[in-house]
Amino acid sequence: MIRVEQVDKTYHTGDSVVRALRNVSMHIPDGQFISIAGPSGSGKTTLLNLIGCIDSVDKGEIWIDDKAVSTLGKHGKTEFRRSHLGFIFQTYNLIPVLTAYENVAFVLSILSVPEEEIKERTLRILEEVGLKGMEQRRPDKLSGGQQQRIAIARALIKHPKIVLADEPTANLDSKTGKEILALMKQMNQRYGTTFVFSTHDQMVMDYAGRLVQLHDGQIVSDDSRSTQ
Amino acid sequence: MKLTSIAMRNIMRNLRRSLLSGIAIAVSTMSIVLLFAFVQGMIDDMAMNIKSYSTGEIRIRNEAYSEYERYSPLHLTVDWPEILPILEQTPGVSAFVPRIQFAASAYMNGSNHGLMVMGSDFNYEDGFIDVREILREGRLCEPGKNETIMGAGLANRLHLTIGDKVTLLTNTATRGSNAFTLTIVGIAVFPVGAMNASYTMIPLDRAQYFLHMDSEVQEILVMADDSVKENTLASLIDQSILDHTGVQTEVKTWKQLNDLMTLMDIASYAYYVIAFFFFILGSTVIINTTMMVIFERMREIGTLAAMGMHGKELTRLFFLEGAIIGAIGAAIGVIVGVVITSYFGIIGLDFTDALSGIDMEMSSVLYPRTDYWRVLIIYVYAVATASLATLIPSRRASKIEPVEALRYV
Repeated sequence: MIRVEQVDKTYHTGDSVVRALRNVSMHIPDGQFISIAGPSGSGKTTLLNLIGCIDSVDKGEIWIDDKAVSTLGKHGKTEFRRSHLGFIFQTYNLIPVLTAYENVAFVLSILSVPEEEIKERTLRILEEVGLKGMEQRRPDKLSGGQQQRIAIARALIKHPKIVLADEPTANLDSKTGKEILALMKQMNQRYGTTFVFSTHDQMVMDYAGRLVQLHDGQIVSDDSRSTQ
Repeated sequence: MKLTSIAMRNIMRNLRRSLLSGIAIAVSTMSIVLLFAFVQGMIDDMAMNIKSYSTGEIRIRNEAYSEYERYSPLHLTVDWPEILPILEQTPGVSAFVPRIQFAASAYMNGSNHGLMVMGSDFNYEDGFIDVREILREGRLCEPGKNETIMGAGLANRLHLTIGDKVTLLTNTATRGSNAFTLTIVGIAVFPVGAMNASYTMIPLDRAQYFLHMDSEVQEILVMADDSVKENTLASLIDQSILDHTGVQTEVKTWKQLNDLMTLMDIASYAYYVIAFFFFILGSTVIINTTMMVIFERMREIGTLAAMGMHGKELTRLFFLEGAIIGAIGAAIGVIVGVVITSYFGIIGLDFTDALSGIDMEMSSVLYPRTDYWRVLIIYVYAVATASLATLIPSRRASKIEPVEALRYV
């Protein structure tokens, strides 16, 4: 369960002050497939970053299960991300010098998982995301869709509680985007992992089990619906 | 997935830039290897020349000689026949030679030409001046004959050659004057330029005869076994001479007699400081490269941090890249430096023109020299400095907030 309680976040850029989030509160139960939608500058990415422990709140609290993650220090947040969170980025953010296999396996190696287990789990997840036979390819030899599949595998390999995806289909064509969403949904159902993703793409919103709309840093709608 | 493996791949990612950093370290390391080899070659050469031509490892003189040295006091002598058996029986003495050095004037073609004469017993010179080795033409002088081996530079200056005769005028030990004529039987090339331009060697007995010194000599030079310390041996010889002859002599080691060598030893430490700055200079390229790499890979840093990599691990990743470049660059620098040193160690560096007219115990041709320990120290020193330099920008990677890094375009 993710609990966002009356969170405020303000950015200072030069002389200008941007209130990215204003008194945002929401609860996300385990296993949900939730989309945070809204136009550019509405605060979607900020909310994701705060839940993902890569940014700090100015006011309010964020709880993940029984842990107040917003109060953790830098080291504590890193430890929490390492063990409990997975990330998928709009631009995939794969390590270019590593192969598909190594990009995924690297997550387990920093968790000090034994080599044999890393191999077995990595090959299995790559097969699940449809990249069997492409393990030794480097990101620059793969299409955008294939790179995003690696990113999904990388996010899921450590069996995290939550996967945070920042506009995961924004760089993909609609067909590939749909495939990626289908894959994410499939993983959500198979592993029970909570998926929180930001988007301004209507197709992605349609895919979500719950849609939270943000505007000017405030939640303007929050509704659960049946998905495709 | 080892960090070293990732670091290696990142190095290959922009090979040209990595090469530039590596070359900077290689050039500075090579320069230091060469500088140290040159300095060591110079120190060794000076030490050898001082020992062979000037003072030996230990020099025995009349106790009062040093006080009046500026007057060339030929009457302040040591008794060679009395001291000879003492040295023969002293353990730790590997070689000794009696010598007399004095200034003389050669009168030729209506003008006087100053020169130095070294009277020596050639039978004892083996451990000191290798006369046969430096002889370019002719033969050795024979005892009892008015013959001389002249330095090639001096012979050239006086337009003399083998078979020519030269008459020298000098003061004697009895404060009188004497003139004697010598036949040039050999031309020698002394490695020390100043000696080459002004020295001529004659048999010891002839020098004693011309200078009215009987069997006395001006100085006795001694070489010590490797097994014994020069200071210890000097004290032993001093005491033995006093015990056997009842005469106090001045027995000093070559280091006590040559301030220049002490200065050279001090200078060696200064070279380590110079080396440090050389490496810092070379490391600036690595610092610059690492900073550029960190800016370029900002998004990657953000991703790794988001995946749960701690600041220390990020620092280690970038540090490894710099350290590997430093290690490879330093290794190449050391290898190239050793190869160049070995080459010039065989053919030598000719400073004849530069050193002409300089009165130092330094050979005109210098042979750079190094050893494995020195090379190893330079290598470790280079890698340590380069790694330390890399650590500064690498630590920056750990300070970057993941949210800032992920936003970076």
